[in-house]
Amino acid sequence: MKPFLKKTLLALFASAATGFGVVASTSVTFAGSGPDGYPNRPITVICCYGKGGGSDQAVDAIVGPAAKIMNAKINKINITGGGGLNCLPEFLQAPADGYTLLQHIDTLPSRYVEGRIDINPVTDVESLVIMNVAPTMLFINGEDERFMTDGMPDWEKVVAYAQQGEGNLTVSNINIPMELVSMAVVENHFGFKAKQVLTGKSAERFGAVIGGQLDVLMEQPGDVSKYVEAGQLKPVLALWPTRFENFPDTKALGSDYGLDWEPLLRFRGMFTRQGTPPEIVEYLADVFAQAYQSEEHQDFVKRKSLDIVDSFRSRADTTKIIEDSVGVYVEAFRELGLPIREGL
Amino acid sequence: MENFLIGTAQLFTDPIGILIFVVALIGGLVFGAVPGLSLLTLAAVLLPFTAYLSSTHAIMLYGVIYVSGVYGGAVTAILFNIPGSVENAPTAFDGYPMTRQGQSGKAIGYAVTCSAFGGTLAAIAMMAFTGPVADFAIRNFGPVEIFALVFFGLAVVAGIGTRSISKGWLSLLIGLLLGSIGSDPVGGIPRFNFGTLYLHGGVHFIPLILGFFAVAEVFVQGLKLAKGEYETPKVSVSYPTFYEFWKMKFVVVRSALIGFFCGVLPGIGATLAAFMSYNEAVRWSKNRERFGKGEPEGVVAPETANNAATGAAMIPLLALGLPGGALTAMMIGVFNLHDMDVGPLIMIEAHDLVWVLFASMFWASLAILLVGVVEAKGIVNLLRIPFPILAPAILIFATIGAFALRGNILDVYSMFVAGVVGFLMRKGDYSIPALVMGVILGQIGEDTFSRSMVLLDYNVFALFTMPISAVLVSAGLITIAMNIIRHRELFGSYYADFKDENA
Repeated sequence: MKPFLKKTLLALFASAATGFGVVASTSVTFAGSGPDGYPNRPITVICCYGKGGGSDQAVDAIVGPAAKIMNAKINKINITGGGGLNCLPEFLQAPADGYTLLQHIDTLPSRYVEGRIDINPVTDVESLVIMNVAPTMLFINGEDERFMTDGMPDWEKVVAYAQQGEGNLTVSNINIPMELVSMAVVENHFGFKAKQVLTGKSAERFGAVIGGQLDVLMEQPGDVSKYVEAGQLKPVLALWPTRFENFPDTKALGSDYGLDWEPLLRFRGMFTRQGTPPEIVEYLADVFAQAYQSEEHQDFVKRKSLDIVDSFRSRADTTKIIEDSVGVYVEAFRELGLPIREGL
Repeated sequence: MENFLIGTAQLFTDPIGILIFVVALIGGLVFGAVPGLSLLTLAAVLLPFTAYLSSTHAIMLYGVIYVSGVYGGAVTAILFNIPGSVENAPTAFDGYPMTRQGQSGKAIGYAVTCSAFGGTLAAIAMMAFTGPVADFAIRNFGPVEIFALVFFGLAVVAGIGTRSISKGWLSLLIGLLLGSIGSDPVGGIPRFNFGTLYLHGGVHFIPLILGFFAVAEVFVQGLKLAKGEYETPKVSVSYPTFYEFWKMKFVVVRSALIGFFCGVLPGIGATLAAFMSYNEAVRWSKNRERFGKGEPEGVVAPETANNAATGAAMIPLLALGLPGGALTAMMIGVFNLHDMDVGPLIMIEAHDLVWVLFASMFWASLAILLVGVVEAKGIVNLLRIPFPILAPAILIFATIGAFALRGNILDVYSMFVAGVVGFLMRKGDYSIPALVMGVILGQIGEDTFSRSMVLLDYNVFALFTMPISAVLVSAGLITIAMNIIRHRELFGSYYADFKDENA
């Protein structure tokens, strides 16, 4: 055999042995701190959105401390695509043993109501916790004098401009029911129809308003805090019953404009399969509750401005939010004349 | 200049910094070269560990990985027809045929030198113009202009990699059709998913690229082996001469500009840069018919552009906090881990750190030249591995690469189906490059077209009322018209020959 070939085969063998060693080392069983030694092997968390995004960061921030509490290894996999729906077959095929968890957001109930997915978020999944709750606001370009009075954003000016004609006001938004329904609520209340330009890519969504191509951005304040601090974006309306402490000058849809409604929330939660042993479900919920309170996670919460409202919901509250969300979306879709799943 | 020197001094007077620089450089080259282990994989694996590094080291690590990883993917594209990442796919169009023709050394030489040149040029521009360039791009390039740019790019694609314009157009249209599987980009309405959630997210282009290039190539060479016609590619370590490089000067400058420009556009990045520069190389070349068959310009253009885009992508990232792609999005995560937010204030709040990043990317681009020359001499020897050993290894790496993308088994199936289809298409002289570009540019194009139409009240002719889009769309239409005229001339001569033969 030629020396080069011999070396190559040796290198291939060494690589294979190393790979096997790595796989074997991650498959070693261990005793966790849960019921009956659970978990005794690594847990997988399926994140339904891309690496580096808000959901991905939220998972990273909470699984680190959770793994320490459980004395276990937690692997995260990102199964992206389909607006967060592409991950669901993988989750549903996993055994209901508490070793496969799902991170998902408010699209779970909204897409169910829409009839886009058949997974009933109330009966087909067990809610663990919500670790991320964010309200929504509208922002304008920080230099857009058209919508300002004495250098301060003025929502009335935005409304006046929007009312000049259908589609006059352009809104940079995302194609998720929570945002679409929220925008429809604003439009109905103020009597205008905006032109919504939708994209899931946050860079393009933010850039369109910062670059002055679109008028208004609908977004959660934590996600655009750096642009607000830099003065590139300015909040113009809080889609909330009252003004926020962090934005005392920004008018709120409820207290300033008299709209009595239940605002929809952007939430990110952890879920497991229905049929998972109850003691494991309770244990997991408890672990994530502790992980949320950990110093490591609280730093993340502050850095991302997730403390603008209480960002944590316990298992009981999460279950209730999911149940309520189904009803809220049914009502909202019905009011807006949008299609609803048969039987709801 | 002073800032650059200070950044360089900080980088090279710190032993840990030098160590991280070298590890990142080599790590990027290795991970970029193996399909299952893309530079994104390396970046994702390293993300949690960056918390233990100083902020300067952590950011510098990612900058260097980005530069070297984008080049690393070119090596396997050239040697084995397996693009390490999607921005290296156009490199395979001509790089691999060069390898089959015994010119692997030259192909890698072009890739190394042009990657280094593109990256260095972009790093200089990044240092000089971050603020104004970012401001110009974000104010002047919205969905309308980006769609016009993509349309301009698609117009030239159909003529690549086939002798028949009609087969080229058919390949392009199949690519556009494949890109439309999943859900529409604006309304999210499901289409062509046959009721399964697996197809809801569409068919990703990376498994398609792996299938059309790597798997189909294994089939093609396997068939040759079975027929006793297989020839091991000649191992060549000859580097391009200075004169050969000099002949490429216009391609290099044009591609560097395209790469820089595409890299600056938020959310677009190196992929569009590589494909657009390849298109323009075809458009302006005197040897159009040689593209897809081993034309060196086909290696030079995408490799210059994709590395130029890496430096350019830092501009919207640092100046505006807008990432150009997945890796730059991860860099935001690294900044956050160190309690910093990228955006307009970063140049003030972390001035020194930013200049260390700039300096490290500049030096990494130059280091590619040194490391790459040494690598080029050695790595071509991989071609000596016998095909019966190489083929399964290629299939294993391709399978890992397809699955690792998003953990979806559908991607593995798609890759093998694409492999079979690619094999048949190559037999029938259909254009694989046109199909792949149809999928990639089609997805970007449809998304921007849909948003443009909302903005323009569904009036297609309004594309001609905005200066940048008017110029680009007009140029695209002229290109299509010229293709049709050329095709008619070609068809006319065939028809005349046919009549003569049957008279």
